[in-house]
Amino acid sequence: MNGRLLIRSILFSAWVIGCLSCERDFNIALKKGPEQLVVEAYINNELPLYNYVILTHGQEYFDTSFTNIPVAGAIVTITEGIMLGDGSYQWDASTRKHLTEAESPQIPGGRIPGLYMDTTVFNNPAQALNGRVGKHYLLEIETKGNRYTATTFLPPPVELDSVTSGHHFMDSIYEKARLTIYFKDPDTIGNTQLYYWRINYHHGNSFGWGAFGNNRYLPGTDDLVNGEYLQLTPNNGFPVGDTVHFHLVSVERKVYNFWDSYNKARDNSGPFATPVKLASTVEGSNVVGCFSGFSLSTKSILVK
Amino acid sequence: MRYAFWILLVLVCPACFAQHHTLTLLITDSLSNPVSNATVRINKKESLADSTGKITVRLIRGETELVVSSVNYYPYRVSFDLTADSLLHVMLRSRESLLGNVIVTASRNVNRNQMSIHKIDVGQLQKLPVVLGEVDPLKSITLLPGIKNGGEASAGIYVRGGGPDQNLVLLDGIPVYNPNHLLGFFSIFNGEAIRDIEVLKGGIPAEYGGRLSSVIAVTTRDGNKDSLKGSGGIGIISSRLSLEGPLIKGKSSFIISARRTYIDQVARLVAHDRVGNNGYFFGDINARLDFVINKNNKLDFTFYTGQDDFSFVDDDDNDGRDRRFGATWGNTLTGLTWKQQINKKLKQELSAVYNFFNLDSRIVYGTNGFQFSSGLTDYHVHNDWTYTASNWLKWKWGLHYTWHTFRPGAGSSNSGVQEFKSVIQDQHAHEAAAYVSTDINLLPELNMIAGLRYSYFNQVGPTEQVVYDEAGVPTGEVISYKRGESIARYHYPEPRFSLLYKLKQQASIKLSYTRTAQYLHLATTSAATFPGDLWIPSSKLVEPAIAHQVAAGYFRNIANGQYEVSIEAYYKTMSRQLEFKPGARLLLNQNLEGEMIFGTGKAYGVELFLQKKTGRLTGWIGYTLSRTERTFPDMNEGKPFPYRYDRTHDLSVVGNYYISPKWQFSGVFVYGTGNAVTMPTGRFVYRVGYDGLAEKPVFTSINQYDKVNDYRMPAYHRLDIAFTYTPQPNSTKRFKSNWNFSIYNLYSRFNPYFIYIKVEEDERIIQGKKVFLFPITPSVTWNFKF
Repeated sequence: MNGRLLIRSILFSAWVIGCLSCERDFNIALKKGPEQLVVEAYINNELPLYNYVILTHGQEYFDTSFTNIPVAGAIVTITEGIMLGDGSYQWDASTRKHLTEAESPQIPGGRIPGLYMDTTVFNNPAQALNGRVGKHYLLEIETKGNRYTATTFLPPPVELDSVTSGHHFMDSIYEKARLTIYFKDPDTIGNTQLYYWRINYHHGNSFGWGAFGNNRYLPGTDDLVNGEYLQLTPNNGFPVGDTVHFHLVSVERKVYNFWDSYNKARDNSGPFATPVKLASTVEGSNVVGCFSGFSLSTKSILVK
Repeated sequence: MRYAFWILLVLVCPACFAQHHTLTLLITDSLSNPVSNATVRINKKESLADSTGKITVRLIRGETELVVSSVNYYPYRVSFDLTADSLLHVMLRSRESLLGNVIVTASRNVNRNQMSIHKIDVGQLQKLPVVLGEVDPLKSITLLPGIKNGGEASAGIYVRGGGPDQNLVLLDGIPVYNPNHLLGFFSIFNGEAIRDIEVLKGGIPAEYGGRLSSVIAVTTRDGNKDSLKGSGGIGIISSRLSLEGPLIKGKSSFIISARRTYIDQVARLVAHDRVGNNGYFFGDINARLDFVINKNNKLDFTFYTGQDDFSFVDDDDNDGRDRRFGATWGNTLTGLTWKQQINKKLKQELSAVYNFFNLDSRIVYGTNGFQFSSGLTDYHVHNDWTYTASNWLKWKWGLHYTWHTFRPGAGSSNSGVQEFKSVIQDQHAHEAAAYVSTDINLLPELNMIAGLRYSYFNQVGPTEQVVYDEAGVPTGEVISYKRGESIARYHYPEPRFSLLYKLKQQASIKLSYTRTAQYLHLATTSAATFPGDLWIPSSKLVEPAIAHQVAAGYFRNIANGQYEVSIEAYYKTMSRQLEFKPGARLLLNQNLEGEMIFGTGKAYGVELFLQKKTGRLTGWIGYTLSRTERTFPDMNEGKPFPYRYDRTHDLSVVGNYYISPKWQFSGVFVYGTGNAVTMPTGRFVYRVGYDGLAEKPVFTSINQYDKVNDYRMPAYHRLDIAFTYTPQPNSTKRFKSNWNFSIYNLYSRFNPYFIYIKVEEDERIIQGKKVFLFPITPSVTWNFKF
């Protein structure tokens, strides 16, 4: 065996391995799907300004405009009701609120295309649309001759016990800390939660649930921790000295399933990815989206 | 009239008055390895030896002309006077030393009543071009018609439209659940240790069961019974060494082979900054002992253990999040087989097998952590009998039993101090089968094999099952099953039938029908197969899958056996095919069954195979024209859609050329229609808001999808070449060596490993991308023997 030849061979091979695995541009001729109505609707029990509906439609995949294409002129209503013993709904017509296209300077940041709100919230907040725990809500949309409906429910909120800060670290600019939230999961199994927060400094002139911080890796169901007292520490860091408003958001299962599918769909690429369709809760043809009933429990903390 | 009767009897039945003797042949190669399925011609009548190289025939006393042939060997001819019951040891001389280019595949295709079968021996494997110098038996069979891989470096093997979990992969008869290293880049089968690999795509005999689509049987070789020998190789990413020799000279032997990769070390050499402390390696050990107790009894012991180890550490804590990932996984297989020739007509094999697969993984991500382990354990026994009643009638029967224990996943995750412990219970099942088959010559030119396998599966306690409602919400109810209590029970008859009709001029027609049942399912959502994929048993909700396959073929030898050609057509249906909902969570999911959807599958096609078996140039051309589709009520609006690995055209050309005693050349060209994948048909925005700090809208782009698998990836094709250089081919020294120089993907075709669309919203760029693994990739391996 010629040892030198073997060593040369291995070194050459090492160079070869280093050159492996490359990426090239590639023209992908995609087919065009049918136009979809996209419904993003919320009702919650604490923040009247954050009860709204955004109606948009999709765009061609290679369209680089990257914006929400609004659906104008739609008739949008939300009605409160209850569920009867046989599983049917009884809607209270007197509670019906008409949501109109909102373009008000009172909305932080101005206008969001496709936004429909109960504009009473700007003049008479006490009379504006607001969710009530234990109630069901019916969303009705009419646009371009088509009708779409969705229902949601505001479950009893799971109360946040407390929030503390700790686990300090330095990022490239700030000293940051992590928050730990404390709450007792109800004894009955099947509860589902989402987690949102606002930071005073960042959120000053922001608007919409899309501008909230959230953490999709926190456990959303109590399948494995039913009835336990929980202490969760999200990975997210918060600047020391800022105030954080943390919302523990209780949702019904179908709303949780929608946001769970959303989290899977939002980051879904690579060799082992599979196409994820959103678990839509809206009924009608060629429509996707969710009517999200949020029961909030909120705690604020000055990060130390 | 009385005399007329005796005259007639003498005319029609001359053999009745002849004296008979039994001749038993034991056919081996020069290393005493049995030569399986050799063709035996006695007085111009052909038969086949069995897989152990044995055949017993009853002959008329007197002059006997014997010719024994097998494709990789020179024929053995002898004439002798048979005067008593006799045992003859026939040693065939390998052609390897002279031509070195003989290909082994289905040489008995014309005369053997077994269709849809291919076989490749290790001599051929070692000449094929390889990627990164690693000989891989499992990859090589995808060069045969009807057998496809999932793409570049894909672990899955797809036989006639079946899924990757529908192949019964056997190592010396031991089922292997995860036959891959390095996430599928390489198989666990060490080329140094194996003798051959055989694939059955259809007409599966009754002695095999448990999988729908194929049997892939890898056989390790016996050690040398006369003297201590060694062999090995040093390649780019791994090295291997084998030692073999006698335990009792001439009677019993051992062989032990080991290999280990040094990918991590090589990668550090190339890019130390990028690799850092991350590492990956795999290693495995194969061992085989064979004890010849006496001329009628033999014990074989097979052992395999292998392990992959992967670790990843990200020291960049700029965002305060440490990232650490580690995983180890591997198989351990042990099998002991007692082979007994009870008398001249009856033999039996009794095997006991232990099979263990385990995965342990751990992830740390900032304040979050995750630990997970899963696996399965099998205890398996089988007893197979063969009774050769006469030259024209043979019976086989047997019993198989397996005790399965599945560990679908035990583990925990944490967020800060909060721990989430999995309470998923182990699952247990009995799997058993009984079979009987007969192999009968109905006419001199018509042979029939008819068999019936009856399989049984019973999932039993102890276990606890959390009950969920239709919406996937736990009801709070838990069902407890006591030890041995039945949870779900299934049993199915599986008829097997094949017919061979010999035509004149070295040609034959074959027909087969196979019904197969599969009680185990592989839970995976990805296009690749991962060690984290779970094998799960049939249960109350998950019913066994059933397949029916009919196949017909025409087989012919041309130019006195120099060429072999065949054409086969098949049609296969598969019920109760399982898929997981897109985005399904498989790990630590108590409600795994709630993530499943069920449908049917259909596959049909035509396979052409042309092989040149002798001469300086040998090789084959395989072509498949096929269609594979699935139908699921919950996918694609219930309409049929192409299976991801539906490949309309699939072509393989394999050639070996004997240049000189020092140099040999081989080349492989493959072409296949691109995989069918689902691509987005549009895009929309969601979770819209306004960021007051950045003063711009914020939202997330979500892909819109329409039809399933409606997009075709680019066609896959490449050309590989290899030269084998033997510096001293005529050396009589004990130490011998050769070099294998391979170039994988000679014209550097960028075959996509996967495609994706890169979206950069800030720069307003949307660009399709394809990632490929192996452009032109040379490699060199030094092989030695001593």
